[in-house]
Amino acid sequence: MTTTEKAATPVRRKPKAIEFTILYGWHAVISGAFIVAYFSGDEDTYAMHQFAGYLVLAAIAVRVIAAVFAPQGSPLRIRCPTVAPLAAWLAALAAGNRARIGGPPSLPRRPFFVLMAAALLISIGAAAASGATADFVPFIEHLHEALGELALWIVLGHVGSVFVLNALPKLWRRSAGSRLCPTDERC
Amino acid sequence: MLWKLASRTLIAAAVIALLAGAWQIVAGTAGEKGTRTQQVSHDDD
Repeated sequence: MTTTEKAATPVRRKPKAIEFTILYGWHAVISGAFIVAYFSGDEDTYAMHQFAGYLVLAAIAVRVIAAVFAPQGSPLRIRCPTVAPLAAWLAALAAGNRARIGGPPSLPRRPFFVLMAAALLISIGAAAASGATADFVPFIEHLHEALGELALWIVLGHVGSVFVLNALPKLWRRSAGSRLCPTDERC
Repeated sequence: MLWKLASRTLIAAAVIALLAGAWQIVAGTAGEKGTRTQQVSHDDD
């Protein structure tokens, strides 16, 4: 290698707007279908439950296929959660390190979101797949109900953590402001 | 951003509920009622 040659560095691909549109559209469909499926499990609305449940299953299948064919760096890819970055992120969270967990200047919450996405896909996928299986093997029904309840708690955890992580920077900013100006709110 | 995601989710849920409701009506007219367990027990009868 001569001095004029540069070392090969991986080029980070910039995600396209259409990829985020697809991702958010998919998020709306799967979350909407999950809500309908969860609340229509009653015997009077059983066809609704099946319709929404199969829609959830189809959405997960489409998401997995899209992840397989999405190029490197695309937000449509599904990343495998790894322990080390997550542990570092949790340590930073415990230490209140804003720069590392989402305070201004923002970022990387990625290790947590990667884990959350994997947990959601697996739990919702298992609930939907067991429901489809129970159409042919009725004794799976109880397992399907248990997996549905578990998926609901993981979904609620997802919603709660997203709101908390978005509220944290504002709380930190407010507490930093009150420390700097304890008497005058407008300073 | 979060409110946009939440509102999209609720709109999607409403649209899916309408579609699923239509499916419920179609399936109801075709005589497909009750849960899997009920269908199995009816079959047993």
